[in-house]
Amino acid sequence: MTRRNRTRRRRAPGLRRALFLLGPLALVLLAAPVAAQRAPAGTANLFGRVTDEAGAPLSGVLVAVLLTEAPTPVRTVLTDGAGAYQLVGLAPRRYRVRAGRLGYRADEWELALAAGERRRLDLTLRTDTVLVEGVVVEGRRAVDRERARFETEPGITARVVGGEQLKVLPGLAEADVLRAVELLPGVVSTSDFSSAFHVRGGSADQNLILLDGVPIFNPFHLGGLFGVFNADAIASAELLAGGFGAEYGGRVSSVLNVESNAEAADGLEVMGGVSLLATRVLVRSELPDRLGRALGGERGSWLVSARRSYFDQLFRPVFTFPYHLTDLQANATIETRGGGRLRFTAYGGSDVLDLSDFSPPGADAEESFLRVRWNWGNRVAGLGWTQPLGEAWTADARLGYSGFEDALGFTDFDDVRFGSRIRQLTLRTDLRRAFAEASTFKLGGSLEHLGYRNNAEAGGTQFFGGEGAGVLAATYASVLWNPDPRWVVEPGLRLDAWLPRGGARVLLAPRFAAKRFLGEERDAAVKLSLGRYTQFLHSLRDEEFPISNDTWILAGEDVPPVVSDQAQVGLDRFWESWSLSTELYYRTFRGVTEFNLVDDPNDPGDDLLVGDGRSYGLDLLLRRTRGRLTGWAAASLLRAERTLPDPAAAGWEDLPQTVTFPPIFDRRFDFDLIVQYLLPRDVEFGARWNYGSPIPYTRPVSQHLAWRHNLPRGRFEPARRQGPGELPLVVVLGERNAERYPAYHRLDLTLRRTFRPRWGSYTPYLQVLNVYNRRNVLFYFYNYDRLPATRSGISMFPVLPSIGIEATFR
Amino acid sequence: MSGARRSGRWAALVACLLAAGCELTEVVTAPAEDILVVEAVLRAGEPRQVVLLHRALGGDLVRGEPAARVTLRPVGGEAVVLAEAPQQRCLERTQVPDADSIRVEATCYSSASGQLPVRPGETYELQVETLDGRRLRGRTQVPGDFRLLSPALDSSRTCTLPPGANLPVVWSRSAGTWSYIATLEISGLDRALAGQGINAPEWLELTGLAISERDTTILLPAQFGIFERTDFDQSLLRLLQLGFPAGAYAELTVAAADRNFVNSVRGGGFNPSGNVRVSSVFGDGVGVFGSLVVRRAAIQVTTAASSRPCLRN
Repeated sequence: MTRRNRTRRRRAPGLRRALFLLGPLALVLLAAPVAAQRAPAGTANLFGRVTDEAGAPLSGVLVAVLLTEAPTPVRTVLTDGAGAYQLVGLAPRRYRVRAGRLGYRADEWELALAAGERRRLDLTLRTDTVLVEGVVVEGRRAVDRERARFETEPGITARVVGGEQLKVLPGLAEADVLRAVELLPGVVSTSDFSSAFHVRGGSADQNLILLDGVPIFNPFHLGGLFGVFNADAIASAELLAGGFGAEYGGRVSSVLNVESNAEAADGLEVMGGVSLLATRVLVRSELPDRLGRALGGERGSWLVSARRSYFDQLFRPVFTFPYHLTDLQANATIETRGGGRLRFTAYGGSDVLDLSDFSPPGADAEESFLRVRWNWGNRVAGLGWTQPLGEAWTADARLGYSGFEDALGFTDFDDVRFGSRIRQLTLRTDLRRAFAEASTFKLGGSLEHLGYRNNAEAGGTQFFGGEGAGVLAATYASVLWNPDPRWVVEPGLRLDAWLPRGGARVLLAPRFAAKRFLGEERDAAVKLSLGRYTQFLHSLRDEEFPISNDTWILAGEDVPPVVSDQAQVGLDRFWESWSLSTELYYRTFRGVTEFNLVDDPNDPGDDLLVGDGRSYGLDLLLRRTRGRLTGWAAASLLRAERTLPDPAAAGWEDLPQTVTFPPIFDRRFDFDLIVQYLLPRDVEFGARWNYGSPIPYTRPVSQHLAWRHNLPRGRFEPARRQGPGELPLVVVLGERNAERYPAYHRLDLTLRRTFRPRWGSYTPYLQVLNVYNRRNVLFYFYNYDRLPATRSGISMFPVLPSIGIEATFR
Repeated sequence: MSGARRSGRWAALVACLLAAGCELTEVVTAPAEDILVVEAVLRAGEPRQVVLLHRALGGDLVRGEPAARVTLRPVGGEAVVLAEAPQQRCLERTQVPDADSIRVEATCYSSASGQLPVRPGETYELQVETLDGRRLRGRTQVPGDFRLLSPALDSSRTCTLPPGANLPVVWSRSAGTWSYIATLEISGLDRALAGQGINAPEWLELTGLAISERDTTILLPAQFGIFERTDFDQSLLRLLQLGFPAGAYAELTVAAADRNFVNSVRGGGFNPSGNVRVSSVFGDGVGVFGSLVVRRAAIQVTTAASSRPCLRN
């Protein structure tokens, strides 16, 4: 191609340019299976699968190739979902191959590779019977995964919490994945009442939450009080807090990857549990051989879990309790004959607040109440296929659907309709090819169709509304290069073409990461990552309000995408039983949004205020990973700010047109101490202590009488009272978020004991939240209608004990 | 308009606090700022324009602001200085419902009759200077003129509606208005519904809303009462979805409101201490300087034949 031609293409109009850029993506998506690769001249390839004794593929196994005389691996690789691994471009000589994963005994093999040889080496690992069951194993698995990422990926910040670890972390009534994430460094939560979290100065809507790779938009019950995931069905939760490679897109702040428990049970297994929140049941088993074969596989497993709150049923004889929640989650995995893996995931959850036949206990029978019915929930389905293609390629394809819907109506007034909906359909393919010269090439693409509709109308007029749709076509490529056993470098490029109705926006997102290992043992490294990240949807949720659902809108003509530039440097160190990670980061955000409370109803384009933000900070994680006493200490320093237009000043040129303020999640220092201890007799003890420095709020500086303009008479009169005993007052606010609530701290404890009769096991547990009853402030109320004026307030959770029981039947 | 959104939020907040929240035992004194507040709403076609000045609450006292210099000026025109006037000229009533202890000493300023004709579509500026040197300023553009198309009224301003019927109220566009705010003052419901087991007050006021310049219809009475649905007997409000009972009488006011007025009534962001109002005056204080164009009608609900029916074929 000549320079002239290239120039012309760069200047192509938006849609044409997008189609041009989508060309490589189409090629990726339509790529035919790739033939086996020859080893480059003078080198050798090594590939194979790692399985357990029963032949089940093992993912996440660290396979290391070592020179026979040296302790340091020359190459490492992690097995994929099908248990496959490949190492290409090895010098012809004698090697030791070491493979290990927690829960399995590490083993070593010796071999000699000749020039031009392609050697298949299938490895079988045996269960490690020395390790005790439960939290130690699971905790080590999580750490192992972190260690594997440390060995193989240069930039990413990955923190993993294993499924069994989750259960020992104190939660509200029962274990909660989303609450556990708050305990990791760089993560800030602003309220006991909300599981929404903020990562490194990003808004809550900038976190991509995935269930087995499928996004889930609003994974909360009761406006954020509980997460939707049943901890029994979860294998692990991995938070990627920064330094993402080119394969990551869609959100700018973090990725929380929640993985279902796909491990095959030995026969039928039934687990159940009762907490003060809900009852839950989980059934899992191997897939019948005949069914597995009919589906083209060799063996497989399935899992179904259900959860429902029960207060509405429990209190039914006495009064109508108006709320219940349900969750249904299913997962099936099939190992295919070609060494691949098929995985199906589904989730459906709903919250129902039904006040259509509700009167509070003790209310006058003749008193009538506003009858309301409010439903909301998620629907998720995903199909994933991981398949080795020849010796050098691995393909991963995913098809997913995710939708969230929220509908509020008044039973007696059919002119009131409040609702919001967002849906996403995703097709994604990732290809990975091991190359000569110690490098791995990653290439992939995705097509996402997103659509949303919001509506709030009453009394024949629409208060708020909008709908839109768009296609996000993304393609990426990156090279993971080991120029030397001490270095891993990964340059990458991502291209996002956002095609909303009536327009196109193409954004290029370069990524770069480098890591240098320190010492012979490769157990310490310094790392650097730089990258640009993009996001094409926003939530309109007011983050200062502790409980509410997200209302999503897509970037379009009037709403720009979020573009975030991020840099981080870090140092990681692993010891036998400990690990330490510290990272310094800086982030900028363009296109952050906030609901415009003074939008012009005649202008559909000013519903959002669009501004900028930035954050910087330091995260530190010290983790003990082995032995009866495990846990971690996480410390985070953060400084975040946002700059947004001040719409009230519009038209007044001599007034500042923007306002800069710390967002509510600007918690400057956050410290979590997590201790998990395995006592004799299968007793597990968990403790969590959190300290959070003050978060900002906007202080009312005075109140004045609220006057109402009497429309018919043209004069003023005191407004109506807001409620019994409340004066009609208007609050005058001071500088935005200039004051801070007192520091937050809280101690939570969990005690569990597992009994193991012949039919299975059962675990009663006791949890106490906020053991020393710290009155952490949720809100202050300022009262200027008395002399002297006073400040009172509402606290978050008081001391909150709860009990529950879990049982497993085999 | 975010009033309904806020209602939902408050309901959720109350629910969560009932579930687990606790009142803080700590109550401390808080320093209060003594803030000047302006209430000014220009009304097109009215002979007098008024401005109310008061201070933020100090205990149970609403202090006034006497001896201030208050001027209104049409852009490009002569400034008019408003004079202090009796409170009654600004205030429909001073008593805060069920709060006799609150003393209102707000100060009323008024133009002389005919001194400042306010015209639809024009822009006006407000300046306030107090004795202690505080200065405030504001600007409003009065919405464009409009007229009621249905019910089409003659000079009597009253029409008749059969019971159990809804009346589509339609008006022409008011250029530049942000919203139309309507009130319906209904009387006679208590007599009309006596013996039906419905708790109807002697008089009630319901609010209707049409957001944006182009939304020029509202169904009367079904679409009124969107902010009052928790204030009255639900069976009464359900009944009004279908129309009025015979014997009721309703005064309808439709006002085209400018940006400042709309912002003052819809409020600002969430704050747990109470409602927040978006100020449209700048300087050493807060308040509203808005403008309205108002049209009115009256509806008599009767089964009798009439020469002035509200509903016309």
